[in-house]
Amino acid sequence: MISLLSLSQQASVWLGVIFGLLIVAEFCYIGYILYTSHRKPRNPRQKNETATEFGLTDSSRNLENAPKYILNVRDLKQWFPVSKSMFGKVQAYLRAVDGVSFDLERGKTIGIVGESGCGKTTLGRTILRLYDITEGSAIYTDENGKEYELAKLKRKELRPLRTQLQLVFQDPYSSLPPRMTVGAIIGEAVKVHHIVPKEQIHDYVLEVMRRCGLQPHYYDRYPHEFSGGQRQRICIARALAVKPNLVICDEPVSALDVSIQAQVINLLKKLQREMGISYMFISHDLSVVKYISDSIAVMYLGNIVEMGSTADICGNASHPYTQALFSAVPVPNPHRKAKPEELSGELPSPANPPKGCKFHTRCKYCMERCSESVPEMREISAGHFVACHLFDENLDDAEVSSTEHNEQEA
Amino acid sequence: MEEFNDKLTNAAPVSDISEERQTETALVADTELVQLRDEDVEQKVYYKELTPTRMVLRRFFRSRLSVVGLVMIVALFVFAFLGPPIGRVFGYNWGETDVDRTKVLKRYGDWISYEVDGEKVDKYAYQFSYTEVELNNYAAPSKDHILGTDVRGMDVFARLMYGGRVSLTIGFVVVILETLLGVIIGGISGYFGGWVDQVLMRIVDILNCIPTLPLLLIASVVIDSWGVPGQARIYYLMVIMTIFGWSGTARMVRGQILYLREQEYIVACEVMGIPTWRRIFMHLVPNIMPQLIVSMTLGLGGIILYEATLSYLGLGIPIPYAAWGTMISSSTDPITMSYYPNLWIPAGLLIVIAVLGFNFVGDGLRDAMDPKARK
Repeated sequence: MISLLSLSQQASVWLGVIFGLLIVAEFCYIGYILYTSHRKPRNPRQKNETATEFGLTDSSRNLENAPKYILNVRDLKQWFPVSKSMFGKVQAYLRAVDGVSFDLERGKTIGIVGESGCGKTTLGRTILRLYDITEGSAIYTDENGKEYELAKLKRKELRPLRTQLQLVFQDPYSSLPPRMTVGAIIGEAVKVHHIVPKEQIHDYVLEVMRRCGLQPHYYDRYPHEFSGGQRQRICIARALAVKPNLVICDEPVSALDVSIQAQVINLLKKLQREMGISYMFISHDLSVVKYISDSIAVMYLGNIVEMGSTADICGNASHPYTQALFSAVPVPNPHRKAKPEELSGELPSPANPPKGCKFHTRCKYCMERCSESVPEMREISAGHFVACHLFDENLDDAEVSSTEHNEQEA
Repeated sequence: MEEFNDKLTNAAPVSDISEERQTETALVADTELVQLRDEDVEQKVYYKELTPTRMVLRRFFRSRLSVVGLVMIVALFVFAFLGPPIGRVFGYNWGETDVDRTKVLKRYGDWISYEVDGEKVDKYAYQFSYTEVELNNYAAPSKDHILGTDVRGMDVFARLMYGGRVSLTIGFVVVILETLLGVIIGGISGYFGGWVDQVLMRIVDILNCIPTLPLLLIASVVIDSWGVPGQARIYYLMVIMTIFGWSGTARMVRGQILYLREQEYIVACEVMGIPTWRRIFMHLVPNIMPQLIVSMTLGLGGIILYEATLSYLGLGIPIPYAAWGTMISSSTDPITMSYYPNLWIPAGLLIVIAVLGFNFVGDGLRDAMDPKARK
């Protein structure tokens, strides 16, 4: 026990302790900024010559001998419990993603399209394991051929993979921490994952920023000082700073205005050329997807209904849903009369999806068997898959004609 | 560029635009982008961006009120911790428990009955007499005792300085302990959720249910029975006040973190593979800093006052040791209240200054640390 009169004798000690604690508590944030802002070259012109490349281009990444596919998704399911019984037993699920399969080639882009609520975003986040996968498999193959079963990895094993799989968010406003500077945001994961040696982080971040079209003096600014497009560039820079192989772009341009959309998409394409990244590009904007993607998958209510190369899907849309989707895109020609095939009705609830083909409630070619059996994926031409009973070889002509007849009557 | 944008937005009839044309326009747009960027880097006159720290400091010092608050706090600390040694230099040698035993003539009054013509009249007169006493108590402010002496003949001014050490120390230590405990427990509760959250929040509920005063009285008796020496009791006091105080902070922190956890930039942390501790302390805690600072500065004043209450109940610093609260609570009799304001008004003023100062600084800090504030 400290003796009676020690207090008066320890005045200076107490002072020190008090101010020390004060500083720790109230100034920890400032201290953090101090720490992160303590970097050598403040002037971007004095850039370290040896540290400009940082292995950011694909020539240094040796993608020649890498396996062909970067991502193989098989029958992926993501069900969310919506109601529980008294004893915690789940009674109903929301089937956000309900058996999705696709492959993604290295260095290519797959576009995922579909209307709001069809599970595009959930699919992307499920692959990143932001949710625990309910069923199915998603195999990620890195450039050395090592395969990772994303569905089975534990959180701890997942952490090193976080540098290889990245996500660009839809909303550039809420996805950047408001109290960190741009440099700190981009550099944080670099520091955590030791992407470059500690003393090079500043130069490296500047280089990433340069590649993403951000000026060096933005380094010490806060996200709220930027426009939407620049914020999205910051998001992209943050994702790219860890040198990912696969970037899932979750509607990265939906929140931006059109001129900025073009810039951001061109930036993404440029980075893909330079760095050999593969994209999974989620969007509801068909023109954007068409422009950036090598192949397209059309989703409806948690399933892929049609999948193929961009040319196949855009030029030869086969599934009734895809056709309706494409006909809804506005035409800039005033002399051409657009007559979009409007889809009737609402998107059914994924908690209680229709039986058989999920689209049959809104499909104008709906046949009897559509409400009974689930259509399988059929390859109608090389690499072009459709899940629709109309493309069944055993399809009875009478069945189709009766449907068309019904339609005419209606 | 514009042409390209039109193409992109209006794209539509799929077969209308050929693949080649698209890539062509894209390339043009790309080079434009690159040129723009290079020009910027080359021709941009490099101007110095303020570092975030300097910006925070500049904003803090630009606000007049927060500077006033800072001056008040610094003045209080100087007064309390450097006051006695400085006073000694100027020959002001009174210590915390020194009793002034100089011999003074004290004027005492007494009611005497007086007689008129040898007969007792039913009236009394007040007669003064002077006595030499060895205790200079209730002395008026003078050169020897700047603020006079109290009932025991101790120098009020000196006791204010020494009492300030106790009050400020208790205030700071308790607020910091409370906040640390609150942030850790509230942070864990909010971040992990589930049964951890349930358990911790029920503990908070229980703590809030316990009536504080009776328990403090019991604690006071218990500490008395342990025979804890007077000045060491402030440590017990700190512990007790912390135990009763952290739950509010914890609850606030939990609420904030529950809200922040759902923000997209925290999801981004998961994608980035940022470790949990870093997520909590680098992303979540800085974002609750404004609320924390407000609760800390408000709490500080409250704790200094609370210490006064506890002193009054006998749990605080026992006389003869000084604390601002003790000094006020020992002047609660009507005579002292009305005839000797020099015994309690200065202590009260210092408490007011401390509370105000901390609130000003807290407000200033909160505004300065908000990155969205104007520059």
